[in-house]
Amino acid sequence: MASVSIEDVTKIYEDSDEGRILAVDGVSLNIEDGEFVTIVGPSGSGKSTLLRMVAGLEDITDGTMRIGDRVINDVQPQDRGVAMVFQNYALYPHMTARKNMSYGLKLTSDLSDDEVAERVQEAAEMMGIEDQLDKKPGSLSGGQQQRVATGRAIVRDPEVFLFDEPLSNLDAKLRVHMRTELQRIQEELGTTSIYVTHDQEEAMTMSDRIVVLDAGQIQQVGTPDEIYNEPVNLFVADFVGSPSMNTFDVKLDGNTLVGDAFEYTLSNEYVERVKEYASEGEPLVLGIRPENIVLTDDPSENTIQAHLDVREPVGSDNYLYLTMGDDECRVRVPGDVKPEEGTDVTIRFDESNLHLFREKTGRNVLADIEQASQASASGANSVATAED
Amino acid sequence: MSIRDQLSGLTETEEGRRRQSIGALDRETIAGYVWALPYLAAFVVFLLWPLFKGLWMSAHDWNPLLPSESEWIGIQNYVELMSDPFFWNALWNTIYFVILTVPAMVVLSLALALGVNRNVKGKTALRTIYFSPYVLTIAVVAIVWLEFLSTDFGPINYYLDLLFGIRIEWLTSELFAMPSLAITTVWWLLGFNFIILLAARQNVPGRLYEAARLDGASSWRQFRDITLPQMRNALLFVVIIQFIYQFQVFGQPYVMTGGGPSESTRTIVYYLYQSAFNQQSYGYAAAIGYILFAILVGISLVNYYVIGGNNE
Repeated sequence: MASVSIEDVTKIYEDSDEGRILAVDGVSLNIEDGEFVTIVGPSGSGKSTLLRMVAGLEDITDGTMRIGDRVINDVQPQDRGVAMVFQNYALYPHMTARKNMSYGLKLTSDLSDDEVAERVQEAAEMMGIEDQLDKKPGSLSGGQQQRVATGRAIVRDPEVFLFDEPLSNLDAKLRVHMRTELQRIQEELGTTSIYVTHDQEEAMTMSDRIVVLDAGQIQQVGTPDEIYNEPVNLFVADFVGSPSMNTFDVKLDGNTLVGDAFEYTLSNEYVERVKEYASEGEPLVLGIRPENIVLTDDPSENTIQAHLDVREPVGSDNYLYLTMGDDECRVRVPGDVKPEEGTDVTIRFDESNLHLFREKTGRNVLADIEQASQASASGANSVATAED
Repeated sequence: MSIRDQLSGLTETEEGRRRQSIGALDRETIAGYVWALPYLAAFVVFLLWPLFKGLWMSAHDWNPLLPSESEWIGIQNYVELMSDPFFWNALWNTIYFVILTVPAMVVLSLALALGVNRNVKGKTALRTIYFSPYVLTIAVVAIVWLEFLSTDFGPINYYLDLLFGIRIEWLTSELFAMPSLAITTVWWLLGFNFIILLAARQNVPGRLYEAARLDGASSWRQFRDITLPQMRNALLFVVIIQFIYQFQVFGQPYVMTGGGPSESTRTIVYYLYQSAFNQQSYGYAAAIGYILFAILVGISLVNYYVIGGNNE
């Protein structure tokens, strides 16, 4: 087991048609020994490229990668001490599950055949596939293939597990099940893991820390709680959470945030904090998560009138789609709150739940404050992003 | 309407629906036969009928002018063949030709396919160049190579003479005649095998090689453990097709050497042709054809079980 350190790593593809493509742009990241870190981001954000550079399947254009104390930039994939689970499993179709799992061990270790067989058996038991070992991948279900692929990684007893969207080919129910299973195995083995996914739910439920990537740059690194509650910019705020965060253009006028369709009065303390970093009249974006908005019968200060267009039941919750003038707003309420479609409703949200971003840079105004107050207090846990 | 009426009405429509579905199935089957008919007709007239006719002829002292007068001689033609030194010579020549062409063709086309599959520049152009000889007929190919290999006027001998001061009798010496035909043939048919193997190689998912790299497989192990097993069906196809094809070699010796010098390039099909059309021994020629047929079936089975072993 080992830590992984990524220092200012860049990947540039030379493409004859499109010229230079900057896939990963100066990424720095420290992953602690035994940590489970998830990299999320939209397609093309560079998350798979970053993982493949750790694996050694892509060259590193610039920067340094270390596993433990060892610089691995020019180390062959098999010598890096990593094992990877691929999105399509990449099992060898002409080999049995057993051979798939033992192949790498036989090539890279000097274990005897008996020891290899024992390791395969142990990993198979851990994955619950002892009975499937003599079958070829073609006669296994998707879930079983996934287990063989994970087993193949476990057998190697690597320092680092690399997962490249390993669950995205499974159906929803199996995916949730395998999620907990992978977590259990990672906890049991305590192996440092880097997990790439576009599924924010996987990221939120599985990780010690999440790395949000966009356009090849790290937007934020933090615990699931930090990512969700303290997004450093509009991208992270919008990317994490379902339905995604509501955003409204506002300006600060005295103590009041003035939007197109509503006004919201802030407390004196809040305004003081904001005013340290945002000037009066500066265009801001107010963000509020759908689950932080409540319906109220009591129109008073800081309540907003809205029109309910659509009510979408999703079982335990109802999603409400509201319009306020030209602004649209999504609200998540408990399943037993069922206002009539087409009626007017009054909504309210708490000051502590709102997020303020600069319109120009998308940066969270209060995150700037925290970053400034922390100065460079901690390396790994602090927010890291492109400079404004 | 009473419930009973409604029920019987229901049953009737159910029945009707079932009848209709049987009708539809029948129509589909009939349509299938109709579509297959043109090929079936050609198959019967040009393959099945000659197959039986050939067997029938091989058991007669066949009289081409008055077939009904042909004399039934049983296996006499086959017995005679067994002690015919020309037949054995032709069989050996054919086997020699197959040994010269098939392995070279398979190995070369596999090497070319694997080479072109790497991202070499001008991939498309190379593909076209390698494939293009295959579209020529054997007559054209043979004439081109006759020029190339000409002892006195060919460019190959011109340069050999220039560099080493030698001239080789490519087509007129017993030593070089068959290898010359083999070179011509490999050049002619390489592209066909190349295209099939290239397509097969391109179908091997790249992820397997990535997994193998992480598993520590060297280039050689990747070739042995992934490329070859993944291309096995295509390789089997190419090998069987080439065995069948090269055993029937005829055009190259017919145009380029006339079977000579001293029968050293007379192959089975060439001998069959001469027996039938030069010596008018149609029954004897048919018997040669049947022996060739038996050899090819045998070779295909061996190939299938050796290369195709434990096929899933």
